[in-house]
Amino acid sequence: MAALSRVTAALLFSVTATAAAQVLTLTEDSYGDTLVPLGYPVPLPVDSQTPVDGFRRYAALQARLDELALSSDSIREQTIGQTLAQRPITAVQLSDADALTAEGFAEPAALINGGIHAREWGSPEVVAALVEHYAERQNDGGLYRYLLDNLNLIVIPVLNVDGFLQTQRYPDTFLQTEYSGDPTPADLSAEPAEYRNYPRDGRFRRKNMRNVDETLCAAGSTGCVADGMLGVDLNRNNTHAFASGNQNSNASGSLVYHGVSAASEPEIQALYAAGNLGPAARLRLYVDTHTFSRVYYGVNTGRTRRDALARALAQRMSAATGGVDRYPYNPTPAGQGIGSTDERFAYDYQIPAYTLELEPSANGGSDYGSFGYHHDGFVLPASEIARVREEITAANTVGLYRMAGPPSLIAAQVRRVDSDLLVYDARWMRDGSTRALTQFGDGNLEPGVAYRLWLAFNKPMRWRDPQTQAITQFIGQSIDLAPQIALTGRDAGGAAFSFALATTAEGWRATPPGTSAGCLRYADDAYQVVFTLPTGSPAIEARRLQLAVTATDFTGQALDTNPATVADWAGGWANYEDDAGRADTDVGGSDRTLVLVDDGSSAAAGGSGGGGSVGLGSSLTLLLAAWLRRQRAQKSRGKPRLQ
Amino acid sequence: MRLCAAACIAFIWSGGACAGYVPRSALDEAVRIAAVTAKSAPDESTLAARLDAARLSAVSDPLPAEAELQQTLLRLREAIAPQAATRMQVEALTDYSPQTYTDALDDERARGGLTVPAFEIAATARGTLRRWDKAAHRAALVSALRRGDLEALRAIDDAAAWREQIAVASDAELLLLRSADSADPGVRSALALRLGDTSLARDVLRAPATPAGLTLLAALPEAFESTVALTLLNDPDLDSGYRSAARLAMSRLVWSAETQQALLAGLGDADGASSAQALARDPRNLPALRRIIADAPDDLSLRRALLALHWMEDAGASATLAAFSHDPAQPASLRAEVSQWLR
Repeated sequence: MAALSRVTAALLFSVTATAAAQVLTLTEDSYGDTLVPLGYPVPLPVDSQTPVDGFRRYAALQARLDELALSSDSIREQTIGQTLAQRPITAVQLSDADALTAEGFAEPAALINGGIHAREWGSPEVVAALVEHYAERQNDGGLYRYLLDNLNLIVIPVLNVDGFLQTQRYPDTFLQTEYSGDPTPADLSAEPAEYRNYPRDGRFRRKNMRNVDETLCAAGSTGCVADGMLGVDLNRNNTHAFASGNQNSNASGSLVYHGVSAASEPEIQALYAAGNLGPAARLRLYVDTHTFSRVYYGVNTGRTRRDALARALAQRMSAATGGVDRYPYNPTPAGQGIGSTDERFAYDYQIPAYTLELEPSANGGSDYGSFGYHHDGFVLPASEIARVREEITAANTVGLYRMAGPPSLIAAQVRRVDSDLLVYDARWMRDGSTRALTQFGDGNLEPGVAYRLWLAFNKPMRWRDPQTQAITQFIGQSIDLAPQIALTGRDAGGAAFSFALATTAEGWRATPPGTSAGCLRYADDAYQVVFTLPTGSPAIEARRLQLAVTATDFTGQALDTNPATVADWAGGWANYEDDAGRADTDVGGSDRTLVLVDDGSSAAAGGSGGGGSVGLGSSLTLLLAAWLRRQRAQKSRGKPRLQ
Repeated sequence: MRLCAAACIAFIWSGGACAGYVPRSALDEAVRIAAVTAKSAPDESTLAARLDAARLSAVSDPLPAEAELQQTLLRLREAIAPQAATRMQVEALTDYSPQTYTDALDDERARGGLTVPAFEIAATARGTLRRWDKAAHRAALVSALRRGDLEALRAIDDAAAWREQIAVASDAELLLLRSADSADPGVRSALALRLGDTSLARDVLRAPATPAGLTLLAALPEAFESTVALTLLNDPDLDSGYRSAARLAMSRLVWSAETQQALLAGLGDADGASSAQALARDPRNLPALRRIIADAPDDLSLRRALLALHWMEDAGASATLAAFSHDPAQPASLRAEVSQWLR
């Protein structure tokens, strides 16, 4: 995207360049009339399928994706279109086979695009790295399995295939020209002045290859066509705000030529086709990956909640790269636009949509000790890309995890520690497009008896260090690692009480579902504590006794206080209730839906209670008999488990 | 310098304006004047004096001063043997904090004003120093080689200068450079290629992967006789970071039954997909791939053989895939995948 360059050297070059158009060669530190010393080794494409300290050749990168797709049931390739040169444009779908979450609701989707601007070599590497990272971890039974099961992730590593191949054809050579030196466009005045004297083709091609052949040729050369300025800027060819703003041009030689009409280019049509794989109505996140300037550009669409959530999400993702401000968020004001892809997805679907500019910062190659050539920011040193891959994979993972949906407490059990006897069991189960609560057990707790409380959520709630296996903060996130658990209700005399439960944490559960004290579906989606109520506790023989659980997912997203109405996206979170029961605040709150002892006074103590009574009356009756039967069977077997 | 820039950018984003912000029109004029002044300087001393003056005036009037600093530094790059005092002045500018900011030449500029330093003084100073240093190191290398002075060679710690010298060195000089036993992988790679030194090449490729090693590896098919290159590329002790690239590089060797066999033997291992892509690059491998599919020695080899046919731009390969997709004896999931490819 960003044809970002520093003014300084652009102007300097206008002083030192003699010809209007030159074919120049990048060097590490060699000087000459047509040499451009970068200050670090010039990266050349590497013919390797596996990631290296460098940038992979397109064919090898594509082969890598083919291989991953063939070897995994959760990775599929889709041809989403063809380039002008009839090359296939490929999207990689990362998802299980169905379009449903593990609970059976309609799956959300996300689209991550790469390689729209040919010269931005960091982009395909970073986007492909996401596929590789998830492929390697698809059987982790935790976070990555959760994302693959509960999200339809569509990834396009290289959208502008023809252009990318052109840059790799000339990995250290490029055509730089002032406008007057190349074929004069029909409407010269349409070219913004600052786009003159720019590198146009070869390693620094930005646009697609419309009306461009593969030969790098300066004006005045014989035996070739000086078409290096042509092509369409795909990030100006979109349906929203097409041909708008002052960062567009209708001159075909302009770096920001928007094309003859909105979505005229096959690459953009392919991008939209990829979105439709979501399907588009299920999209919740769009990221278009560019270089450079280290920023999340975004779009304010004017919907306050969406705009605030998009900002918060960008900051969370940035934090995963090393700091909230490392990739600052910079949105276009509502109503403005330039015809970019993020605008299209933001406005059409009211989702967080970004133009992610990878590093370097706006200082360009200076960040790595360059010598100041104005476009050196597009040439990331080979030695940096492995780190950038990791950082952005973490950032994208935060975005995907958060947009997969807010957390809900969907199951709980209370057992006596001494006998493993189940005294309370609750579970929110899918009921059409909502959840219904089934819970049974008398829930009466005895003083001096140790109980084990097991809480399960609809997503993995914590991150586990791959080396130490210890629960820890996900990169750049900062949350309370343990949930807060309270008991609220009315005591035997009818007085309201609420107190934090003194517990001994047994921690987040990593062992597989079905095993002793295991998780529900995914590693670390369940948490377990032991507690004992002292004699005289108001919870003993309470008329009403309910749990109040406060927890966030690992990005700090709080619980949906009413799991009955399943949270979804509608330009902001829908059905994501807060402590006051409001579903338009996007903040969530504490879960108080689980009632161990019910006196029929719905939400009698401690907040709204959300959907605490949903389905309870009838299901409690129906399940009581089954529970009693099971209790008898458990007693006869010794130490049963229900998980 | 970066801290200052970051602070300024943050300030602009928050709706303010940097004290040193200048519009582009003002920049154009400042650069034009500074360029004319720099070109008119008769000698290095004059340029050095202007550096001093510009640096001082940058405090009060940064725009013309920074333009002059930049243009003067560029002009100084042409100095062959700069005086020590000039060098110190330039070194002092490598941590220069910019005072002047402007809009980036950024097509997204409308999005809120990404503001950047107007002049890359520090970067330009680095470039000037580097040009001087490298010229000096090259001269020192030439001198040391002429004297046959191994210790002097070892004292020149400049891998880029070494590599440039290696590119033009005589055979005798190359041997001397080899004897200096540089640890830099780029230097070792360059020497291995110029000398045709398989031992050195093997050492580089067994060490942890580096960009320089990848460059060496890519050059092996052309730099070494095919059987020698095959031995190097098929070395079981190759660093894992090179293995995929090594398999793919095998496809650029003169085709031989030995190369084909090496690639076929690797189809079922961790880098088998790279073997498959290498095999796909030559249709002479088609019969052998067909045999793999018919014999299906193991699931991974079968999958990689199918991939090879998928990547092979050859009608015969497509026909084999079509037959596979219609063969009810083959695994349904693979047949479905292959059918997808054929569509």
